[in-house]
Amino acid sequence: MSNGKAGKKVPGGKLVRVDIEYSGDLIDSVRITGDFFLYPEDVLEKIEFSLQGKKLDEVVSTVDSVLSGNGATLVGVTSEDIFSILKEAMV
Amino acid sequence: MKWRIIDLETHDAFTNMAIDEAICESVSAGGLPTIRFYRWDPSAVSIGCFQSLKDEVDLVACKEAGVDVVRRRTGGGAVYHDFNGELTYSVIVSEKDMPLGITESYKEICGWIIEGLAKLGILAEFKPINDVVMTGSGQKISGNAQTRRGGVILQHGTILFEVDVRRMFSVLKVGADKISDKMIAAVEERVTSLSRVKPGVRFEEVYEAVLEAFTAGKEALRSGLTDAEKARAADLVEERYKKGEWNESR
Repeated sequence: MSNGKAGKKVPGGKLVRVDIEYSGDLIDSVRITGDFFLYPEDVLEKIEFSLQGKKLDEVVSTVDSVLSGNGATLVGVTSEDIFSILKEAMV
Repeated sequence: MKWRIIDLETHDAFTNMAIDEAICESVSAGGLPTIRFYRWDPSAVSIGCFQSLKDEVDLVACKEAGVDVVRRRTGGGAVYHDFNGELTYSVIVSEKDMPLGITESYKEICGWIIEGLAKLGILAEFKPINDVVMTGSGQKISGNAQTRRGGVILQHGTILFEVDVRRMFSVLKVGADKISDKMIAAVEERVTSLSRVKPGVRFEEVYEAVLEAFTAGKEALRSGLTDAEKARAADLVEERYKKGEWNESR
């Protein structure tokens, strides 16, 4: 298992950081932090949980489906931003 | 629509956050929409709901300086709330009484701040996502954060009265071992305060102007917390806001 960290300030948006444990191209666990907004807030844990065992190319669809399944809104960062930061952390 | 207005109070960080949550619960149960104003004593750092405590806050420096640290229920960034440095407000209203999207509701409530500043002769404007900035210079003068839960909008925010960047940097982690004059100058370029844009302005004047703007056109009932809310807030201080489980959760 490998560890990675990455972060970025989304232009016109907010700062997002990820801490990840991964094996090859599979996400073992991930923690997402930053100064973005998400309503309702507890959906972030659901997103982190749902990303476990997923491949990088499943990140956008996984995040989007947790958001829509929970009627949640992410503000200041998008699922694509989370994907690109995870990609950077998994290099 | 009748609003409850709770005049300026001073509490510690844990109590301030617990009062917001207790009011959210009572508004969710049908209580009056509420506007409250408050200060922080002791001065405190609040971090956003999703921020990493250890990445954002110098806990040793906070302890030495007697600065409390609390995680908010709202997203957004880390804020140093100096007792003398800011006026803080919360607006708690049901989504049905303020049927606006996220940006629109920020804009509505930030509009009240802008009105208050205009009464002081200060020209400011809303800058999405959640800031109020000076017209012209674009310097931030107010930061705001919102959450929605149980059909209730909570927006709280600060209006900067006086900013001591060096002190702010001493309690927040700024990604450098040594705080340079250059870093301080960079923040002072981006952020301003009422004391800088209107030298000599008194805190009380600011409060009066902001209070007037927030209550304009509203049927306002000046009142305090109910006994039930006070008791609930006291419980939330112990159950959540003073707890490592909450504050250290990220």
